[in-house]
Amino acid sequence: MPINFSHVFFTYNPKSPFQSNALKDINITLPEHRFVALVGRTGSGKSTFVQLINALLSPTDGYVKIGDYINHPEKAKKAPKDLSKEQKKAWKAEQKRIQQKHKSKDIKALRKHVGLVFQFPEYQLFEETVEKDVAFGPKNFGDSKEEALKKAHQALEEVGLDSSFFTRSPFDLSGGEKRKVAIAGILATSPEVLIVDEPTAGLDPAAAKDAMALFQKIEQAGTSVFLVTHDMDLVAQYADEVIVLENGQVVKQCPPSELFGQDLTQYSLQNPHVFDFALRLEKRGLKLNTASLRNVDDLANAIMEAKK
Amino acid sequence: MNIIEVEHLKYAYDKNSKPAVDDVSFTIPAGKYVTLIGHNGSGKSTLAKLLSGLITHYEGKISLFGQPIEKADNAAIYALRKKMGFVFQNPDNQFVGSTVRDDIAFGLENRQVPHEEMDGFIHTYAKKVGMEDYLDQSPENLSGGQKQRVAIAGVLAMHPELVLYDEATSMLDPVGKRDILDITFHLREENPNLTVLSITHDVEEAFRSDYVLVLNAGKLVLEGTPAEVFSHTEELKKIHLDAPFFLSLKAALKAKGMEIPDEIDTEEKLEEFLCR
Ligand SMILES: Nc1ncnc2c1ncn2[C@@H]1O[C@H](COP(=O)(O)OP(=O)(O)OP(=O)(O)O)[C@@H](O)[C@H]1O
Ligand SMILES: Nc1ncnc2c1ncn2[C@@H]1O[C@H](COP(=O)(O)OP(=O)(O)OP(=O)(O)O)[C@@H](O)[C@H]1O
Ligand SMILES: [Mg+2]
Ligand SMILES: [Mg+2]
Repeated sequence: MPINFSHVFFTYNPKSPFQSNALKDINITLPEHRFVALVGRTGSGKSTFVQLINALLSPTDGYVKIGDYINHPEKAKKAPKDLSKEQKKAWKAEQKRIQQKHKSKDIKALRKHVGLVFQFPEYQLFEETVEKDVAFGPKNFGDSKEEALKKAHQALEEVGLDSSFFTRSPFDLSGGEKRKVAIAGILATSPEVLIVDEPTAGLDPAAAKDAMALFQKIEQAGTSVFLVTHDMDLVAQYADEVIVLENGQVVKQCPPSELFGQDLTQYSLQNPHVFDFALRLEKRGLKLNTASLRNVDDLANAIMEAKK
Repeated sequence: MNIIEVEHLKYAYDKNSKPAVDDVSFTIPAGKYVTLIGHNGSGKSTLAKLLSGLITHYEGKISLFGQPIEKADNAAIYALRKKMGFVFQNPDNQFVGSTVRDDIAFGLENRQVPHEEMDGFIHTYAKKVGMEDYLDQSPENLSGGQKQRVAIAGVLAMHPELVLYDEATSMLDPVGKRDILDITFHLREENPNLTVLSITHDVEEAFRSDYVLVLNAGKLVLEGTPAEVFSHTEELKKIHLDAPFFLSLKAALKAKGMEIPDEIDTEEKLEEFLCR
């Protein structure tokens, strides 16, 4: 599904003392069927950006086009002053059409296609049992109760929660277990676009690896995956493309290998361990081939090669 | 003196369920930076809740600052708690103030900082975590990582003698995370008795700490210096944990036939060794 941001601004609490300009004039076309990482300093606008893609938020100005759906500002825009009477009328009709769209079924259809796992699982969980929570999505999008439960159980097994968790309350779980339920809840709806906001925060190393492998499998089956993360090792390992946000703006969009290997502290980022180490070796005069560096094994190979 | 002493500690959320913390004993001496690692659901946060007094009915013994808390009266417990700062796993459960400023002020009031010095201190701590521009913002209106930064500032402002972090930096950007670890290490230079117990999934942080405790299914299965603990690569893998970067790289190089002597035990030494 093509996704396109056009002159998108987003302001929290506009015209109040708490006003915060989270996104400023974003223009970007997102790649399809790729594994895309979104990175950037805390507060740079990543969570805001992804919430615009499934219309949990609407732009303050500009629009986001997601397939056929256009996410417009919620408030009708005032017509420019210099319009003729006819033009004004047409403007108003168009604004009205846009406004109605916000309340239409289209938004539900959009969310069926675009699944977002929140940064805080606590914001997503609400049912009294784990299986009901995960089954909510599929049921909401038209599956029978049985079908939805079946999908829920399958998704839960996939994230590593066995049947002993199915009837427990999602609120009485450990932090990482909650995270797994939240991920399963979106996986169960098999979205065309999967957005995960810091999905590995709070997961143990094995669970984080499993979750990433799962997202990769889903991406290879034709889903577009957007991963918000602070873990640069994951970006090096999994992403086809990386987008850097800084102070509400997109400052870079490139393959990870192009981003890594330079000083990233200006974005409050660091190079992945493998690049960082390779850089330090290079500074001491050991030249390495870093072109396809993704993980520790690649680095070890590059070192063996250089030492030959 | 031992700052934390735990003996045969046991707790189950339900009578019928398996204990979340199961017969755990350990001691943490003053001035140490100790990390607690373990798989999801291994009992780390439960242990933190037991130490912080959020769970009060349990089996076994807990002593804090040399004082068995089962025997302490309310006033004594209150005095103990004032020496301890906690950062919870979910920062939303942390905030007491309606603005960032109030939240940090709360930590300061707790240690009776005079009113006229408050503002200066608030700025200092907000600045330490890079949140000085957000003092009048409400904590709930912050991004995930910003919430964690404020939660940490609030606790550091208390000048605690024992800091307990439950995944306190899990949502920070790489530089932010490094800064918080540096700040915490640095605080120990000012106060050599400052003791830190940090629950984390970040094996790099654990590798940097003085001592590592490993939980598996509620039981303490391994403890020791990072070098000792992480030498058990296979056992750790089995219980969902990983090796830090340096050890993974060393193992990968060895597997490809490179001979690396044992005394190469830090990243810096490996760097130098490889460039010889
Ligand atoms: N509910 C809100 N009300 C007001 N301001 C907000 C709100 N949520 C976020 N902000 C502000 O908007 C900006 C962008 O926040 P956002 O959550 O998108 O950042 P982020 O890149 O996801 O950060 P993190 O890595 O910390 O999660 C920040 O400056 C933040 O303070
Ligand atoms: N409020 C609760 N009620 C019932 N059981 C709980 C509750 N909180 C946690 N548990 C269970 O107790 C066990 C230990 O949970 P705890 O939160 O201590 O784990 P943890 O090591 O902190 O995990 P994580 O890394 O996921 O945060 C888990 O099996 C969990 O499901
Ligand atoms: Mg965020
Ligand atoms: Mg926990």
